[in-house]
Amino acid sequence: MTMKKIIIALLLIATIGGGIGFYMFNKPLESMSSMKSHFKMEAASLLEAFENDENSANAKYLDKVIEVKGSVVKIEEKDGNSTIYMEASNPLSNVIFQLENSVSGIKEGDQVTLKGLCTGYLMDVVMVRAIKI
Amino acid sequence: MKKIISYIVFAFIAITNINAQKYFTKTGEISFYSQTPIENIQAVSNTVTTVYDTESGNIQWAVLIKSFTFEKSLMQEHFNENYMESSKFPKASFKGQITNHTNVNLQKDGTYTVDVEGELTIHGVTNLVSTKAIIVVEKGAINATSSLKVFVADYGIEIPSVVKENIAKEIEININAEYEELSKS
Repeated sequence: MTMKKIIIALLLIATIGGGIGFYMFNKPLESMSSMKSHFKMEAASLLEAFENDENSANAKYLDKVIEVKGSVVKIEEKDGNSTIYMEASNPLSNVIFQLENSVSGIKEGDQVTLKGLCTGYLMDVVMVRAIKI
Repeated sequence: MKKIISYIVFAFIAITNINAQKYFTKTGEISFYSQTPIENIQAVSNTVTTVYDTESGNIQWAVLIKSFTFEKSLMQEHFNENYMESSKFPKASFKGQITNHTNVNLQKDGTYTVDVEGELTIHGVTNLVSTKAIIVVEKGAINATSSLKVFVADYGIEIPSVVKENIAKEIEININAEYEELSKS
């Protein structure tokens, strides 16, 4: 009797464990709206941090959710992807946001705050999965 | 004094002319594909920065590893933390040349197949690669697509034996970029 109970209990644990494992394995990406922001800053200061010392900026900002405030200089739509270029301190470099969904209600020249995941710096600081807040 | 000014003006014109031969985009696309009987894995980045100099045929691109998105969050996490070590090596890049770029006539709409060779850097390891690319010229705009296959092991990326069957040894990388003239933007 007790042996049977133990087996049932073990089976139950295995099923739950397997279920959780399967769920974790197939879990889609978390949506940006439910992610907590680590930093809130201006576009110019974010770009400056990378221009001044890329390694320490990488250590501080990579994989972090940041709310960035600035003025929209360019909006690009290509194959269903929307990209917003935000003005920063340097005329050649911007903070670029690839949006999680398509752009709505944002025009060039607007002052906006966008929240996204910081992926690093090429010629620009690149943020992905961004949303307007 | 006038002479100096005319030299400066001349130099300025010369520089703008050189710039006019450069094409770029910051929203190029790179995707890669791993196919095994157990599972297929695909990821894409749409924030590739690339510059193409039509005069010399030099072509460069760079992509941030963390900008690749996967369907499943666990795959993305493993890719960044275990395989690509993207905090240590945040970028992948290519620096090379279209060896027969003079075959491409930018004044004439058409589809051109070209040869590309150069240095591909992934995970901090650089290897020489060569491939073919297709360049489509339409009304002065340039669209380039290319694909190449790389062995994961060539770039010092170790796949643990537990998931060896899930990840292909050879990964297909696809690149697609719509270039704009540099002077225009």
